[in-house]
Amino acid sequence: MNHNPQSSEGRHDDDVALSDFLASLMDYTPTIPDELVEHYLAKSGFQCPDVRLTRLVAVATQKFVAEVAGNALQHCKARQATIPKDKRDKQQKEKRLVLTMEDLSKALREYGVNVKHQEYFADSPSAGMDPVTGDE
Amino acid sequence: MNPMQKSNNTKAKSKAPRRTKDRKKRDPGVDVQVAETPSDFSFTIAKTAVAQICQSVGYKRSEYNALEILTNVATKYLQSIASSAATYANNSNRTDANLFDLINGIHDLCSIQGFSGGSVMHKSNLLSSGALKEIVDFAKTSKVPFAKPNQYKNVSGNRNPEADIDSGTLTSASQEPKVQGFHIPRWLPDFPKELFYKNCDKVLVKERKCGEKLWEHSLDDCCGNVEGNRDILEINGKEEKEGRMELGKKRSRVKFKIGEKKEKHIELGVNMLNGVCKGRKRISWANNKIDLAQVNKDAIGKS
Repeated sequence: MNHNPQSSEGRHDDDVALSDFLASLMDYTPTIPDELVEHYLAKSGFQCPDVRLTRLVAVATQKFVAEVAGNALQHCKARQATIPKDKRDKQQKEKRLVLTMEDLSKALREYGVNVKHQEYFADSPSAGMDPVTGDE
Repeated sequence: MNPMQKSNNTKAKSKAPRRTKDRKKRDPGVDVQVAETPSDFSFTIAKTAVAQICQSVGYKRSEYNALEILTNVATKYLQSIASSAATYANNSNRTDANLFDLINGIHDLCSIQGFSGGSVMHKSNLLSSGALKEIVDFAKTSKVPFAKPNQYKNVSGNRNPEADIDSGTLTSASQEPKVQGFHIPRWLPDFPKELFYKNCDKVLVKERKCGEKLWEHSLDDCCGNVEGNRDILEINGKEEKEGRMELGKKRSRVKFKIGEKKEKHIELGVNMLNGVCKGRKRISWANNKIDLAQVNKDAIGKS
């Protein structure tokens, strides 16, 4: 019985915080534009006239991308920390922070996405083919 | 490191370091950047946004393929949130999704990582979910505007947040009042302001001659404008009592009785008008027969 007023107060606080957040979404400018999000929402059957929900989806996606990119950045930094110092100094001059497939696939693996890139690319599509088919 | 990465990196190093989003626009010759289909177009915009997010995280540059894959994953993520929320909405016999459906959809996708309160997800209140709180915290900390300022169309019809949000009723998140009627599709542009077409109508009404009116205005008059009727009556100079439609002057009674001998008296029409009928209140053809007969006799006698 004692928990009821507390929990209801806590719930009330949550509601207030959430409604404040939703209100702030009206003025929020997400990195992913509204029109783009609306396009993808409409594509997948999501129907809602509320801008705030659209922006909530945008913020959720932005958070996901930022997390993945942050993870990849950690991988990148960790990989570069293993390089001996003399070589690292050479790279220090240039920008080292490049989003590579290697880091990205490691980061995405934690999110259940298995990305595999090909080990190598041939020079041209017709390089490995028979000369007859290549001519055609 | 495989040869492809090497080639990409060397290519990137050979050029002057720029920002990530600029890199994409920089080498259209190497990679095809022209959006040929609508999906390509949206994908290109999404790529810009993802590149900006990567830049905000701390990356300076990106491999083209990596950026493309990350964009692909991001759009798939967005779409799966949306389709999951739409499924939740449809399962509860709704077409429009609301906040709860969206939170459920976010839960579905966050459950891979796990979030606080995920173990009691279906027992606790949806609005106090840990995943949503994480998003709220993220939104507070990161503010990276899109590269170009985009003009938001007024979807809800009301941009004042205070008017939209009732602090108590979060459930009605999707039920904000719209200026547009619900029967009007959302993709139609807003109706022009009342000033424009109302003024136009007034001008038109003034221009009309002879007191003619458009049909819709006559409707208005019929519906509520009794005073308008009164004015019209007063303008005509008639006496008007009790607001009823009354003739100002009492009309004299006119009675015609047309018999079979009518044709005989056609020649006397002028006479009849001048002498007999003029100034009389009642005209009765039957009574006038006698007079007409006398007139005939007189005429014969004179001749």
